[in-house]
Amino acid sequence: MAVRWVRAAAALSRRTLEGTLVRIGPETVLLSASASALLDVLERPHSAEEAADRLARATGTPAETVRADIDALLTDLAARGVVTSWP
Amino acid sequence: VAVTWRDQPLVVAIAAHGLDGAAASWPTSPLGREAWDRLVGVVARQRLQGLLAFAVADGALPVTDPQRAEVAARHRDAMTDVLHLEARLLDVAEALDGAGLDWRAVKGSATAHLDYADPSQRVFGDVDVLVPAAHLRDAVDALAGIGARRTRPPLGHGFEQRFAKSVELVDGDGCQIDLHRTLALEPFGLRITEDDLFGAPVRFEAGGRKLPALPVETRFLLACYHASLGNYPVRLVPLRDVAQIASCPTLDVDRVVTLARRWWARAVAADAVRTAWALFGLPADAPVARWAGGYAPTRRESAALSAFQRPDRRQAHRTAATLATLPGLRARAAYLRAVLRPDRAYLASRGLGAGQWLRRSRALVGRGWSR
Repeated sequence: MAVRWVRAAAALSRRTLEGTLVRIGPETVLLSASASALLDVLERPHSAEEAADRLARATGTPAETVRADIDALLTDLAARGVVTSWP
Repeated sequence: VAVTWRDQPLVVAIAAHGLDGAAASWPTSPLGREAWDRLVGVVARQRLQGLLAFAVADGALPVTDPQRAEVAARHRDAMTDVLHLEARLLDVAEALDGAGLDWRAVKGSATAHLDYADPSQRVFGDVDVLVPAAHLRDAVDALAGIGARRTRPPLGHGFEQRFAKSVELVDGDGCQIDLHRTLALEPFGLRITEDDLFGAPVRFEAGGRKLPALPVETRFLLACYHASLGNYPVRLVPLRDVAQIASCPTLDVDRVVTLARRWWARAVAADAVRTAWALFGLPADAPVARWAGGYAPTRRESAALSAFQRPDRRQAHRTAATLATLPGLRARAAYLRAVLRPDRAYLASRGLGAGQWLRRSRALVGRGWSR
C-alpha cells in the first residue's frame, strides 16, 4: 500500500506573498509556491499519487508533470519535518 | 483620533482592508518614492504588514514590482517573528499546563487565529496569557522553567494579585511574555470579575495543540480596552481588532453589553466602537454601533476614560481615577500605600531612592487629583 503523507501537527505556519512560511522546531523555512500548494493538500493524509492528482486538477497542470515533481517535493518536506507519513 | 489619522487616509484604508462596508479610498497608481517610504514606515510601526500584504495581493493597492517585493519581504520578516512568538506560546502552554494552572491565550495569537479570516493578516509583538490572580505567582514560577524572568520586581507585596493588570516577563531571546491577571489597567481592570474570564474556554489549534482562549464577547471587550485605554494616540491594530471581532456573526451584542455593565466598561466599549466606526467609515446600522451610538457615559466614566486619553501624565491621572473609583476606604488606602511606598527591590530596579519616589508620586498624584 502506498505511503500516505500529512502535514506535521507541530508545524506552525503563515501564508505570505512568496509562499507559506513554516516553523518546525527552531527552524523557519519559506516554501515555494508549489510546496505551499502541496502542504495545503496535505492538511489531510494523501498518497503522493492522490496529492499529485488533486494538485493537477486544482492548477490545470498535466498530472504527469505534477507527478514527476512530487516525490522530490515530498522528500524535501519530509526531511525538514514539515510533513510526516500517516499513520 | 481624527486629528492623528485624518491626514493618513491610505494607512487607515490598509488598517480597514477586508472589513465589510469600510469606506476606503485607494490611489489609482503606485506611490512615488517618498510617499512610499513614509507609508511602509508607518505600516511597520503600526504592525500593519499583514494587512498591507493582503491589500497588495488583492489588487486594492497598486504597486510597482520593487514595492511588491518590499511588501513581501517585510511581511515575511513580520511573520517569521510571529511564528517565533507562537512557538514560545506553545512553550508557555506546556509550562502552565504542566504546573496544573488554568490559563487563557489572549490578544496576539488567539486574535489572529480566532478572529481574522487569515492569521497572516495579524502581526503581534509579544506573548500574552491570562491567569487567575491567585495563581499569578505560580505562573511566574512555572515560566521560570522555560527561561522567562520578571523584568521588574513587584511594586509591593500582593500588589500584583490585587491591583495590577499584568506581570511582564522576558526570556533569553528577548521575547516578552505578559502574564495578565485581568484585561485592563486600573481602575477599569479592577471591576472585571474573574469568574467571567475563566468559564468554558474556546480553543484554537496551533502546533498540534488546542489552546484555550476567551469567548468572542470577552475577546471583543478586551479589544475595546486595548483600543481605548492602551495607547495615546490610539493605535490602528486594536481598532481593527474591535471592528474585526464585531463582524463575527456569532458575537452576541446583548452578552457584550451585559458583561460591559457588570465590568463598568460600557463607556470604554462605546468609545472604542465609535472611534473604530468613525475612522474606518463602517456602516452605522451594525447592532454594536447602534448600541455604542446611543450610550451616554456618566461623568465618572468619562473622567476615568479621559485619564487614558491624554498625551501627558497618564500614570498620575490613572492613579487619581483609581482612587476615585475604588470601592471602600481600605482598598483605597492599600492602593495608595502601595503606590506611594513601593518595595526597595522595585525602587532599586528603577534606580530610585524611597525619598525620590515619594516626592515624585506625591507631585504626580497631586497633579492628577487636581486636574
